[in-house]
Amino acid sequence: MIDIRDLCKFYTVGDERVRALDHATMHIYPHEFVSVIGPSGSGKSTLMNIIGCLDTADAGSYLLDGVPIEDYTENELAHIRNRKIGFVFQSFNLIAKMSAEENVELPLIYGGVPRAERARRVAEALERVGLSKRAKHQPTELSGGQQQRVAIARALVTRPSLILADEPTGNLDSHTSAEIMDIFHELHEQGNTIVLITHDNDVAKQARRIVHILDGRLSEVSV
Amino acid sequence: MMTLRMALRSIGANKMRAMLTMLGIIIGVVALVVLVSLVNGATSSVTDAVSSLGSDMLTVTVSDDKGKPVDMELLSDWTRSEPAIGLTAPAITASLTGKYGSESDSFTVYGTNAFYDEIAGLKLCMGRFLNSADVSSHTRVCVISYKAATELIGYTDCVGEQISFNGMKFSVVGVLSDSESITTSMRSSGYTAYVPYPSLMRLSDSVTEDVTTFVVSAPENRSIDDTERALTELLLERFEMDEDAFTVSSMNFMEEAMSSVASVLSVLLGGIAAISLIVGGIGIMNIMLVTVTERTREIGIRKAIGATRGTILRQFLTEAVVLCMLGCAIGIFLSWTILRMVAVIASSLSMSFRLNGTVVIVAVGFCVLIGVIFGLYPANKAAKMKPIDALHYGG
Repeated sequence: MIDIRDLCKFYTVGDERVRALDHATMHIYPHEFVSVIGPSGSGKSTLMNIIGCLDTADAGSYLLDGVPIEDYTENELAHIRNRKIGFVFQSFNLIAKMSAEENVELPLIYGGVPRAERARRVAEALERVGLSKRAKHQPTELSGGQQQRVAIARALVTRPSLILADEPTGNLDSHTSAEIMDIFHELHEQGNTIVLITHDNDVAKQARRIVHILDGRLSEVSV
Repeated sequence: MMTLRMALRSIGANKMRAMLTMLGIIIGVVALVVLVSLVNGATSSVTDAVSSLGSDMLTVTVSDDKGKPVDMELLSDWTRSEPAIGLTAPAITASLTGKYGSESDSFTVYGTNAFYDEIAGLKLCMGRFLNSADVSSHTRVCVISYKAATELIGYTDCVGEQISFNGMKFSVVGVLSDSESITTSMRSSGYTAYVPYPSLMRLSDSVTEDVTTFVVSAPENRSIDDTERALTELLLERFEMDEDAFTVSSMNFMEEAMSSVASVLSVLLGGIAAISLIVGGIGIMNIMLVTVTERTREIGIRKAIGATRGTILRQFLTEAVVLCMLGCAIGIFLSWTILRMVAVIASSLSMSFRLNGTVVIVAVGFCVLIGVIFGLYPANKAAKMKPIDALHYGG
């Protein structure tokens, strides 16, 4: 479902040209739970941004569900992000002035889902992360773990083909981290494709498949 | 609908800032609506005053009578027999010195008949106007202007006092009310008096039986244009089809002049107010730019979960327009309040200051326009942010 070949991405920092991705090649099949592990500066965030269609590569090809991404316009990319990809960020990235419910509803609004359907799906998504009782709370009234669960509900609600998690446990203590990871395991068992990016070996080990990234190069490690 | 709710929310989240931003628009709208409404109110009351004073009056001046002069007899004949002609009255003027006690001053004296006040729309504040008996028996009576009464005689209730013109004593039978001063002041700067036409003939050598200037009104149910046509025809017939032998003029030109002055004034003041609205719009743009920068991360999140350029553009544009419209609504409400207060204060001036519907619509339209124009740049700036840059902004 994800087919990456020879992806390259460069950044210019000062006079120096930094190679964030160096001929990265990777395949991810449906219903897989893959973790990408690497130290900071290894290019894993760049990889995630490209997979998540937030950024485009300088060279190489990226097929998502068999469709090359390079050909898409900005608006088409926005639709892909809306329909096919669910993001979970390290810093939760919830909109502060909106309640949990509204945060989860937002991607459905952008997707043009009718109101009644939206309400049903929001309730369902919050139920799945166990936050039905906190639907009306603002993010600031929730704990870190709860906020991350809202973010997961937001990622889930559009029923994306891919859930992309960038250090989802990076800002959480070990206990809540475990809870969040449990949710990912559940989601995986329910048939979702998950790509988890982390620098934490313990977190990475929980995935069926681990891909190492170092200096922009990918290498598979079998468990 | 959704965008509107979001816009109201984000404005509500920062009430103080929103209020200050709107202040520019509020002041602009108040300036526009109040100024234009005031000008319109003042003009319409002046125009009313002018039109009540004989805008349906025709003034005829005969310059060449071709040996067939117009006299009093002929004028009454026309009134009786011509259906399109209403009342007629001679309007010969002479400049004479009027003397009251030891005071004396120059007067414009009209020689006329009993109908002049009705034709010219004069109003009396004291006594009566000339009557037919005064005219037929050459009585030495006069009706004087308010100004003449108050300034020369010293008080308004001066019926029965005597003024002498060229040594002949005339008793005052009526005093005109103050409002007639608008028309008379346009004709002459000094005092005015009205005397029976035959009496004026005795006072001045230049005044003869031949009426060289007279005024005509339209009968009820007929327009002044009909009268003007019928009168011109009669005169042409009388003066051997010579168009240059006489002139017929109406007072309409005054109303026209008045309304053109008013529209120039409206445009001028409206223009100044519009400038302050534009300044308000710049304030909106400024604050929207700040908002966009502050909310860069939010824009990034929205884009990451599927907001398109258009969605973000709409969101911020709606916010700017809503801000403008709120300011506009408050401005119109304030204008209404101010105009109500002015109306109470100015009620003694008999002027009506009401909210002018057209200018309200113009103000609303202008506010929408300003919201769009000044909202477009910040909204576009927000819309074209790259999701990746926006997401990582400031952390």
